[in-house]
Amino acid sequence: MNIEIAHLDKYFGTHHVLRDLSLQLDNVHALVIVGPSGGGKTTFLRILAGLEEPQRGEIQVNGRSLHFDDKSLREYRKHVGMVFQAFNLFPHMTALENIVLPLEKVHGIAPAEARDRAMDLLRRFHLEEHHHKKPGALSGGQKQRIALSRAIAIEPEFLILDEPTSALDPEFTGEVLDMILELREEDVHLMLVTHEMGFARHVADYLLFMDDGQITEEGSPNRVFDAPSNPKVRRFLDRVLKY
Amino acid sequence: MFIDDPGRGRVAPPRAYVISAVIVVAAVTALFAYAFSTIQYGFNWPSVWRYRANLARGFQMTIIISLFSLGLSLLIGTAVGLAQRSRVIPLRQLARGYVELIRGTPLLVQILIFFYVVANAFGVSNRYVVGVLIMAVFSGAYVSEIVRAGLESIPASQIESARSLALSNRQIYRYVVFPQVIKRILPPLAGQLASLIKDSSLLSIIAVNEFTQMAREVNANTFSTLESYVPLAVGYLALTLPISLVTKKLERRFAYEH
Repeated sequence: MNIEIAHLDKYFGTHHVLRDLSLQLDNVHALVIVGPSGGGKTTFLRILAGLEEPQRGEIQVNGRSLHFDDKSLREYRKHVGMVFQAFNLFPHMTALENIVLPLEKVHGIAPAEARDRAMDLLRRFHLEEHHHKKPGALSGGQKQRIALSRAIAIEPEFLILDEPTSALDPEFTGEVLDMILELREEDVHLMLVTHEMGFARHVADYLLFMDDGQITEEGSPNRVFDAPSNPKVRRFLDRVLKY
Repeated sequence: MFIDDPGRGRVAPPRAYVISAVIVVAAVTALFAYAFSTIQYGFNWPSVWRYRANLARGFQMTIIISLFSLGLSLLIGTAVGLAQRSRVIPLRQLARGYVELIRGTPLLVQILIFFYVVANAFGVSNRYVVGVLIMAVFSGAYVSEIVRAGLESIPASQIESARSLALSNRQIYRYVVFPQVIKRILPPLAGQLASLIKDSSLLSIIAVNEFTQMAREVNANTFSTLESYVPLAVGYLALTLPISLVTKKLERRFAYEH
């Protein structure tokens, strides 16, 4: 995927969340963003998901300029798969219905075909026995894997994952990371914010370190992890990789 | 024996409930029996019994008016509940003003003004239609608050998630928000129906022949006040008690599912 961002500024009230952020990426398959909490990572992802409007800046994704009116945003979101920290499945629908809803109502796929496509995904990720269950009856790991299935069912250009394992009990983190890795190996493009540093390094082909609304370090994961040029980045990595 | 304190692991035996119920009913009955004995009232049930058909008609009318009003008030309440969250300021103010006005004034006054002024001005002369309209407008304000609370109880993350899937605003409400809201507001809506049934008794002042009006007529014809009004109380209870039980059941089911 190609991303071109110029002079992005985002405020929440007087809080300057993204500060004149620019970025140019060509042919990146897995962009991973790390950094301290409150550094603007999530806001950055939400803007790229078409869920948040910046006050200033130009964004181009895969050659398409982002316009922040309702109609263009809706069109844009059809090509983006989003996975949230808190799963955000619809609690009144079964796992299957959660996946089928956007296929039918947004992408105009016939009910039978939408169902088949959803069941294929559930089978592939060993979730078919849960297809009739509502989110309340599923574990955190299962919920997130269904949310992932819902996001890829629409065959998006890329997946956006906002701390997909942060709300999980440690015992379920592995199954979700495994699934993301599997998708990565199939060359599903992704943008991921995570605190799992080992995983970040493993999955990324390009790494951004964000702090205080800016990109303080970027490059190949090995370079950023092994030889960060910015002392703040080095201190942060030392702290989180200590144990 | 009559103490229930599950928090401390103390649960009363089932027979405690039975014995306690007997004592409570006996005590209340004794209280009323004493009160009635002091007024030395000579009950004359046969005089009222002759009017049982009238009372039954009134009872039916109360049910019909309440159901029609509830249906209409659901429409009003949903529209106003949504309007209160609208992006259009005048719409929001109108909705807010309506709710405050209706909830802040006595139903009695609303009925009189609506009947003698508004209905007259617009040439609506059928008392039953006016009655249903008044009750719907009145109840609609309360329903709108129930709907609004229901809408507000849906976490923003649900709407966010639906937006990220590129659902349109209309689809978000239809497939994601309303199905969840309806389940949550069913118990308070059932309670609203019970209130509506009781409140409709005030329509008697504009001579709508509902249950209370019929009891008043029976009283006027027989001078048997208590014999006219005691059946009235029993009749209303017969309607509201089942609703109350259903409400409790719905609340429990909802609590269990979440």
